[in-house]
Amino acid sequence: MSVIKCEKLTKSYGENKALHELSLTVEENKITGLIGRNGAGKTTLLKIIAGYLRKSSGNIEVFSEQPFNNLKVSSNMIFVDDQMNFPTALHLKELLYVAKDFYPNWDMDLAERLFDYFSFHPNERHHRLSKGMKSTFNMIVGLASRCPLTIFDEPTTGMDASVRKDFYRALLKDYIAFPRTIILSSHLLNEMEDILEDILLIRKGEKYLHMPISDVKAYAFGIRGESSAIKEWSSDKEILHQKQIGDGSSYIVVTNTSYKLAKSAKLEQFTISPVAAEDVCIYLTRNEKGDIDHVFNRG
Amino acid sequence: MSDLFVFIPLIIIVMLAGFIVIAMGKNSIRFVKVPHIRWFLTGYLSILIIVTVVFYFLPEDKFASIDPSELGAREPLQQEFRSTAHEGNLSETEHVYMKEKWEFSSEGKTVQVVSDSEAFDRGMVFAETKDSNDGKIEVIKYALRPTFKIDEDYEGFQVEFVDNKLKVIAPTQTSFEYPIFQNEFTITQFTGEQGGHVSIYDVLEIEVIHVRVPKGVELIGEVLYVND
Amino acid sequence: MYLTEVNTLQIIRKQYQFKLKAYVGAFTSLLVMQVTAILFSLGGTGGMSSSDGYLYISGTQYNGSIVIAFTMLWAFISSILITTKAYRNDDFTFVTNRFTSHVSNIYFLLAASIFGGITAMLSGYLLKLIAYLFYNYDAILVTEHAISSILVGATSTIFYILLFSALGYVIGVLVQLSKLFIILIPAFVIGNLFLQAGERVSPLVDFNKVVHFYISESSILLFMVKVSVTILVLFSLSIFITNRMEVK
Repeated sequence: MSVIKCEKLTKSYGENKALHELSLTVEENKITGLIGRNGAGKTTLLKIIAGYLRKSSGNIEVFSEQPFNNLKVSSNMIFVDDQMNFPTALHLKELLYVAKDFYPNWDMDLAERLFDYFSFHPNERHHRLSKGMKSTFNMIVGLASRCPLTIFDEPTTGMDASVRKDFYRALLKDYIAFPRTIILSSHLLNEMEDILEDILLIRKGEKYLHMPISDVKAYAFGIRGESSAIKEWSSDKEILHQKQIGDGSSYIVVTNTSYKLAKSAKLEQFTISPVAAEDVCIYLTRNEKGDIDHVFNRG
Repeated sequence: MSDLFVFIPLIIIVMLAGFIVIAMGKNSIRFVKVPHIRWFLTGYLSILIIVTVVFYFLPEDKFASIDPSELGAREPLQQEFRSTAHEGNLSETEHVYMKEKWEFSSEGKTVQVVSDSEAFDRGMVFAETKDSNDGKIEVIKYALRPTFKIDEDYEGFQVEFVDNKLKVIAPTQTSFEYPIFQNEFTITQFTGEQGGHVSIYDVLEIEVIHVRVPKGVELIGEVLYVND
Repeated sequence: MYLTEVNTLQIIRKQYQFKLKAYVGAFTSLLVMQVTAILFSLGGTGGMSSSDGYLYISGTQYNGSIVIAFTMLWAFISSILITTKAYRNDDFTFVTNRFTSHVSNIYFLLAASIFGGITAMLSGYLLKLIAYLFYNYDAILVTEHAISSILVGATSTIFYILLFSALGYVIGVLVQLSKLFIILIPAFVIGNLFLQAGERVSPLVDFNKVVHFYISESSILLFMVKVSVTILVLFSLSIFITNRMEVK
């Protein structure tokens, strides 16, 4: 069963298209990483899925229903981001009890253990917490609510490295015990790639890539060798990235398909290395103007 | 009720001000939370309920109860009271009673009516000539009972006869301050109770002095002769 | 993970219970407003004096009318406040849609108005008791205070407060719909006040007539009908115009 189904989903703000004819399907009980650069439309897509925003055209179904203003979707979904606001009148502990009231699958025991683990004080107020602590608290709510569809939009904002690690670990453990559909959006892929099953890469409001993480890891290879040889070899290949290295050699990244095609060629002269999923994503979502070095290489 | 209309622009302006402050506020404005507010609210409501119960059990000795429907009722009556006096037909009726009576012996042909008060010339002395000359000036003071009497000892105008002058002595100036416990506009709207505007005629005992002089004696001064 | 079946009424009830806790600060401001109004009223809510040259009478009115008026203003402003983005987004942190969010707000306003109406009504007795105990008067004029009139008064006070709530709510919702209303509404009201003050041009809406429509109704039942219909229209309008609105 698919939990989310989009067909040619478009969201426009005036002339601007935040999402452009996006079609995708998210299967039940998978952890999907939504990757994209700032402004790629990640948050817009997630808010449309959550039913906060209206689509402009196309079609979207969440749990086989139109999500906008849909109580069923709202009841079975939680949307966690750093803008998540909680009533200022209530203490953190009271907030947990409010959440318990709303989410039937809520696990108070888990919530309280996480609450103690991250050393929250029951009488603190959410709006007085530091950014990282806010994110941590939101994460607790997101996990303990055990919603069939759990959306984390940039959940680790402000968290320090160890809390981020704890978070991903907690997420994975709870997911294994209680499988559900989870979407994580982030631009920090490397730290969460271990827990992801699928990656959904969007670029300028369009789907660029949607595949299992294992496929992403094998999507491209890095090849290093003497510059002119590299140049010659790669002339008919799909190059994702290239870089000069000081001693007259170059490093290029080519897609797996190009690599397979060229396997017969003399690759022995080059050093071949795998490319991390995160780097693949960076190369794939980079804009045409080249990387930041181009800005400085005017001469 | 009409008082309320005066406040409409003011209320509208306060509402507008509140609206603008909230709508323009850059940072979201939130209600202020005070700890233990539930206890404060419970205490507040309890006090109000107790106070209300106590109010209904207050000893009534200080209360002069008003029937709201009677408020303002004396205003038209006092006109009638004076015109009846002018016609010479005043007698004890429902609200009118004979309050005081004097009798003086007169010798002269004319008797002057004088007063030490500025507020005297308001048509309060009415004169009538008797059929015979018995040498006696009869002075009768009639009063219109107020809706409620605020001063049991109020004697009103007094009359003396000195040196062939009929002297009307005004009561000493007094002021009377009183609270009025009224219902709120949300009650008076439906009970038909007027705004509780107490007119002076509701509390003041209005008096007229009826003077009967012997035949051949003339009253001069601020006096109205009754119409026959 | 199984899907939860939704029950709109149940969600509304949960939202309402949530709001009773989360908006408890509204009651703090109610308390402050009413206590302020009570202090203002200690010197009397109105008075009259007249004199005939001998007797000078001066009466000071004591009742809870000012407290009721303040409570009406409180309801108006609180209602605007709970339509603002911050409060609306609180709802969407948890389970809701626009309809349940509005309906639970209305339930909350109803509860707040009932509490505010009863306390405003009874505060008049507090003022009268203070006047009785602490001011040294010889006599006190009392219009008839039938116990049954507490019921009438509390009911109509609650309805008046609800009327102001509904008005504030619809205005707040309009602003959420478009910030233009921040300018349009005051412009309309102030323009109208000027037209009303001037004699030549008739105002678009004669506020006096509008007020008159409610306050000159001497039948409590008809008054309740008039107010109920009005608030029903205002709240329905609020729900209707924001049902397609995007949040967050």
